[in-house]
Amino acid sequence: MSPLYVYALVAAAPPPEALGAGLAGEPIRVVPCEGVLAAVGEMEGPPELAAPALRAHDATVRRIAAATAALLPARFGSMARDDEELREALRPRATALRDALEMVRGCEQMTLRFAAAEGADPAVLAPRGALPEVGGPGTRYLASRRAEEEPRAIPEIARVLEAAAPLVRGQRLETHHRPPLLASAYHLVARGDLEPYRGRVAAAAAGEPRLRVLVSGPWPAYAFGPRELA
Amino acid sequence: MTDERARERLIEEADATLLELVDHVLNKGVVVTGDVMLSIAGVDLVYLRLSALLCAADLLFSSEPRR
Repeated sequence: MSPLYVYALVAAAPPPEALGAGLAGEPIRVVPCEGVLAAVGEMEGPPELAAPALRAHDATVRRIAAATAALLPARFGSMARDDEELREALRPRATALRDALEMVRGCEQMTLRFAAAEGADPAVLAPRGALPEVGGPGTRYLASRRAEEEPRAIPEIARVLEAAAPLVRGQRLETHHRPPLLASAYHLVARGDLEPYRGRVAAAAAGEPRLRVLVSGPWPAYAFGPRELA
Repeated sequence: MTDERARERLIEEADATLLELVDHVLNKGVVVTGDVMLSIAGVDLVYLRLSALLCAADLLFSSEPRR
């Protein structure tokens, strides 16, 4: 048997026609393990790291996602020697994976990039969260450092996130120290709520002249796998 | 392909869609076997490029309504 290239984890097997073929034209099948199914294709080696392969990986994941309610994409390049090695990798994490699949059920991921608008000084968009009144100098210092890593400490970003919040079922935030890029937000949004979500974000962003908000998606839930799976 | 060559190739081909794709497909997603065999365009590279893209997008789309 050839090594397995892993495309995604799903909660229920999609119909065979939805699984279709993978990056190398290989048929995709599922490997079950304690309530989690891995969608895999047999490949001799990992795909070349190039734009066509990245696009093909994403297209394959999207096709499978469209045919099932709950899917977690595998990171590009994930391979296992055979079914048994794959099961061994999944088994200790099966509970966390089932929970993660339940969280993304019926949802798509939307991604927001927050950046300083053209002409706006990124330094002006610095965290301005209130420092805690309690604790000693060390506690206050650590809290202020945490606030610096929290995108919601930037009021302009917080207001956009608050506007989207009623339609957000899951959120992951990242702070970037790469001006003009300030932060990213990854949102789980129900499939039927995508247009209202975009509307809320656009309306809120229009009220923040110093902030540029770039919206992309819908994506498969790339940012919502369990964090510790390595 | 060496890391450097792969990196250069990705950058040459970079556009807005590809950068988002790199961030999502290469930097996110479940690490199933604990051994992602390909990882060259690290987070720093991706965000440097995204940053550059955002600057460019301001120029490219300056005539369109800001989102």
